[in-house]
Amino acid sequence: MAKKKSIRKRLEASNVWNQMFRIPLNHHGSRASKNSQSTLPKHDVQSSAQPVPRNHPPPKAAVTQQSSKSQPSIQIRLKQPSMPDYPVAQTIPEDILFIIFSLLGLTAATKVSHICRHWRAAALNHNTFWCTFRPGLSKLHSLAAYISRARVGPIDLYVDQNLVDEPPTLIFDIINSKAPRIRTLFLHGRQFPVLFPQLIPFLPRLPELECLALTATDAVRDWITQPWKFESLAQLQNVKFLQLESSFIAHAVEYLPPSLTTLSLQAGDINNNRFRWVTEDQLKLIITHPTLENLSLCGSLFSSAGDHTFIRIAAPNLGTSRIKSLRYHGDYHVFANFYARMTFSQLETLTLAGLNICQLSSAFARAFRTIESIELIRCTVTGRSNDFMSWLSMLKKLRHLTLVGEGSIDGFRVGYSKDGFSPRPELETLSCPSVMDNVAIEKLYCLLKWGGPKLLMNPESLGFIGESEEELKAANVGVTTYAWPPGIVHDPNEFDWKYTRFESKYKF
Amino acid sequence: MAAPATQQIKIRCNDEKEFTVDRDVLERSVLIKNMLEDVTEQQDAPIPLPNVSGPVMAKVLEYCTHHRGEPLPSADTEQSQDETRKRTTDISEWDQKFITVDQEMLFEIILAANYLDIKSLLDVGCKTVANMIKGKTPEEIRKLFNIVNDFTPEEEAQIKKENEWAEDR
Repeated sequence: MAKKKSIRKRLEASNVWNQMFRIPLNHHGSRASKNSQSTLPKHDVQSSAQPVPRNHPPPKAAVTQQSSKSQPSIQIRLKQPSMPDYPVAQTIPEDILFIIFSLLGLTAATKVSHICRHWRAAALNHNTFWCTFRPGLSKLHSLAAYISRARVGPIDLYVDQNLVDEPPTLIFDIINSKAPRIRTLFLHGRQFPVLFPQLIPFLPRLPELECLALTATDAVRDWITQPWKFESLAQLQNVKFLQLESSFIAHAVEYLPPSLTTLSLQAGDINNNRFRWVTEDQLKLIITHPTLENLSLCGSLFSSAGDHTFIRIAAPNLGTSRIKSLRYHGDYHVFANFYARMTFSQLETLTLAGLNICQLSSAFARAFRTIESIELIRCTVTGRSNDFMSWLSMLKKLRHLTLVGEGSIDGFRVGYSKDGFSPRPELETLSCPSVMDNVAIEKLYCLLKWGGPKLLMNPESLGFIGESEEELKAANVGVTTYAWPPGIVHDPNEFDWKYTRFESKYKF
Repeated sequence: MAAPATQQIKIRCNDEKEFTVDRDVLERSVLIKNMLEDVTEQQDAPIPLPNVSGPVMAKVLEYCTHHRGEPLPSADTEQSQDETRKRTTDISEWDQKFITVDQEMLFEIILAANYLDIKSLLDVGCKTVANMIKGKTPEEIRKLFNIVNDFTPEEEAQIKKENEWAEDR
């Protein structure tokens, strides 16, 4: 029988021995190797801060080496480091400080870098704090200083012109200086169009660009008649998310990036004839884009000006869309006469916001026959509202219906009768996340009598149904709440595009 | 049939303080768990923990005992937990009470959790410090933690410029 190894040899062989001596966690929670730190910048351009002040504990590697060389047996302990002159908060390892700083948010990075040299080194040495720029910086030159600290990795750049007081031309210099690494470019503000003749042709020189948003440009009335050239958008091979607003939409939709998966067109509530409306042909280009999965059309450029352009995309040859998720936010113009002779063959989610829904035809239902989830946000249902309920009845794949705001609920109630809308087992949930009064709740209460879909209600609305968990369970009632997602998004893959930019409009 | 007796493990801290602890409690520490899994033979010699003192280890063991039996974070969940951690500084009621200690002990617990690789305890400690920092000015933070302002005049000048940059919101 082979003799068993000594404990120490076993520990050394399994690398546990090294782990017994301090090798702190990196910020991902795994053990940090020397190499793992090599990607982090070690010194700041702006500062001569040294990472470790005097009398800090010995370097980690030295501790490990000493232990493995000088320990003849497991019984011998390491020499203890001398007590530091600094308080423990000033000697805590950088990796731990990074975790703490991360909890404070990006905007706190500057503050914590002003505490002492050790904290400053910890803040400055972690790229994460300096590669995402969100509105909140008061000066564009400070943005330039921030960006100089982002040594490696992609850069997400968000600039809100309303929060800075310097000429927007400086932003172009910043973009130019980091062009190869910019992943997200979000320019929000009415002054940015001044840059566009220079910036738009430059965009193909951002090879890593995935997310592009040019918003809040709607006040630039003087610019809307310019002969905008957006051809360069078609060269943006990696852009997955595109958000445009107002005056640029009609000029850009013919040049959509080839790999686009999410398109958000925000027209605001403009009702000015100087704007160029999106034409039916342009809408066809959008809707039949080969890679587009999420489409958000918001505002009067698609529905108003008297001809309800989007609604009248009624040409029989409009084609088949691959869009899975459609959000249509009108401006209280009717969602009527939607002949819908085109087919959304893969549509799963439909969100309608701020619309008056009426006169829905059976053709409309056929156009959306694949829908699994519908969300009505502050809509109203008027006119022959039984059409609405009939429409719902025709959507055989519908699993989830969400009604936000009393208008949406009221519309549901108007057409709701046992003859007009039979509850189906396919409908799993009916969510009413906004707070309702007893009158509104009563409108839905008949569902419970029928044993219809599970009714999900705001906790503050539950009292009408029952008090105890048992009562609610017996009534097939659950709890739901509604939280607006953050308005700014940095990851196109995680982007909840449905509500961005509408946060302030739809408080309820 | 009686349940099998829980294995008891001895540990020795850097101040010679020794503890005999149920194995499942100690295994909240990934460091010790890995070590115990690797050493199959029974050994009586205590495990040396040269970076942890007795009083700190007593607090760590109090935490481990309270949370014994809870699932350890797997490698797959660690990343999502990191993401979650960035968004919230909430601490459970028991943990909050547990971590209500003096500052030196707080940082020692954090260091011990880091060394022993007890991620949840490290989180609790870091969140506590983050909550202490929130809403305070640099001067107030220095005062709170007794931190020495050791910037050079040049660095001070640079910091003064940076003060115009961003507010802690």
